[in-house]
Amino acid sequence: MGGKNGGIFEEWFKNIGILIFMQSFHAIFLVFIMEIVRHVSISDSLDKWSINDGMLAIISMVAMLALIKMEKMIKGIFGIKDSKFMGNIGENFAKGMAGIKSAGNMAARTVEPAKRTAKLVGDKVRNNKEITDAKEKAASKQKTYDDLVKAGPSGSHMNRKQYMEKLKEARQAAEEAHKDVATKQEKGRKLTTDIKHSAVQTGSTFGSSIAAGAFGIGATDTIAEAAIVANMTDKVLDSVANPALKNTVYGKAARQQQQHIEELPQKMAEEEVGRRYGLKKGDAGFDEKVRLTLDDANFKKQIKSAVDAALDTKFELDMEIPSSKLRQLGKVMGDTWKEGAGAFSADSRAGRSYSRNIRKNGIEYKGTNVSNVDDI
Amino acid sequence: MLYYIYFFYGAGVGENGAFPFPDQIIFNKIAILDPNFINPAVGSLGHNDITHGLFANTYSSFFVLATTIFTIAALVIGIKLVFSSIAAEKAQYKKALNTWIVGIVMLFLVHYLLAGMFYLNEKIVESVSVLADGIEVKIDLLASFPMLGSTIGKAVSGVINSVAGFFGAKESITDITLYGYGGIIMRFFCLGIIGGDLIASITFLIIIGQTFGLVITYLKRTFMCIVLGIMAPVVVAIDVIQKSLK
Repeated sequence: MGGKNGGIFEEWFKNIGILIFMQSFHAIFLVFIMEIVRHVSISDSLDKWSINDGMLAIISMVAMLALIKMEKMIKGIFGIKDSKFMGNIGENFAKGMAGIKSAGNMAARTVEPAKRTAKLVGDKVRNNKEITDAKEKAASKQKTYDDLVKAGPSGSHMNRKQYMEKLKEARQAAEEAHKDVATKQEKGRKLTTDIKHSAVQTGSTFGSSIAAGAFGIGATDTIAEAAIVANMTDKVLDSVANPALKNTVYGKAARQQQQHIEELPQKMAEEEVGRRYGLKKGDAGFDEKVRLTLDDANFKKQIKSAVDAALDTKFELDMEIPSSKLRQLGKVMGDTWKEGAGAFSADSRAGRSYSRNIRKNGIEYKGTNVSNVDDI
Repeated sequence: MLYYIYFFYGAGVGENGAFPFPDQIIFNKIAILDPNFINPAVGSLGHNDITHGLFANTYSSFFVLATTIFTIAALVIGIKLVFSSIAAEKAQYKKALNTWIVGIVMLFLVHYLLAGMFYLNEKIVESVSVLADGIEVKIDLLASFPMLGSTIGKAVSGVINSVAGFFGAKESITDITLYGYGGIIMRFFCLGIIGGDLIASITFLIIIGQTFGLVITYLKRTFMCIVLGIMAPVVVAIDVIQKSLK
């Protein structure tokens, strides 16, 4: 948007100059036409259509058409394109609609991780409150049990049998309350790791969208085209950034998780065989039993549930992310930003060549031609 | 029917008619289509108290913004020039300072530049329009009425003109002389819409449609000129910043 072919002031001056002096061109052209009309000579017959009137009609209609076409021709002579804001959007409705849809898709994709993170944070806040309430309840149940133990049967004004029953109930209630606290705390730990993962994803997606938007604006001439290009660039950037995230920040952790999932069915089958038949690794028939267990349809369902649960767990993120990994991630995002910023300032070779391609071939990015709005 | 005659007749002969014909649009006879917000004509968009105040205040705000940008730029360039020790860098900052000086001069001169362009355009259009007014188009209104028929219509207009002559009229009062492009369109209107000629009617409607297009084009032009003109100070400031950074 900023002075690709010269300074901003030169572009502004050319545009406003043409707007103002277009009227002079029109006026000269109209007088020229009217001189032709005068030479054609208007009919003296005041109430009848004549051959002169026919010529007059043709000249008048053609003159009006030529007046409007001439404006585009003169703009072309002076090297002026229609501006981004009052140009192609009005002329190409389909491109405008594609632009709107692209912008909407990109915004939805960018906002999705942020929404997910916000939801997780909300869940964590609720979980914290649940833990507090559960702890209070557990403390109260524990106090009841401790008071009962301290008081003894005589202090509780109960006979021994009643006292033992009451003590058992109090102990069970306290144990359940403590178990409830532990469950909620485990859920809180899972939420914390999920939030960490989602926050990194949000930053990466948002950063790539900003870079893609900048690239789209720098590389195209209209807002509609910029939105289409930004959407497609954003998808490409996300596909680059997500594996980059996996390989840099989560590299070791992702590999560990993958290994855990691969080994899970074998481990589960060995445990099941050991539990059912009392066999250990190395015993005769152990491998055969493990193989049969793995083929069992019911056991396959159990394996699937366990694998799903393992995939849900981001336990690896509890380990501290080393600064070297963060620097690597920063470099990936920095390179993305540089590309976008370069295209935005229209100084980058990529931005200029891309812009030329857009003008020559229409909207085409990495071989994908946008001919259908639904393809975007 | 008489209303429509007045509507198009008034537009064809007068400058303040209801429907703008192409020559009136192009020859600056329609005040609302005048983009000159610096020296607005009476009745134009910039002549109204509210819009004039709006344009002036917006331009002032952009001017103040531009001077702020220039001040900050001057400070940055000055500091960099003072603290720089490498000759190549010093030369670069001196070049940036020259650009800054040219820019500040342009900031104060840009609205004179705009006013000059508007004035030059208006003068060209005015001198050219004088040539166009020379074309005469005669129309006999009464003869065009279909209900009267051309023979009866001519007879009636003959009677009316005779009576008018008796009372001192020097020329025919039923023959109208129109000028310019509007006159040509009026001729098609009378022959076609009033007289019933099909080709004339179609021609008239096509030209009216094209005129609507011209009105829209000139309206767009007016808005674009005003917007571009008002943002001139910011354009100058950003241009200087961009050139200084190169």
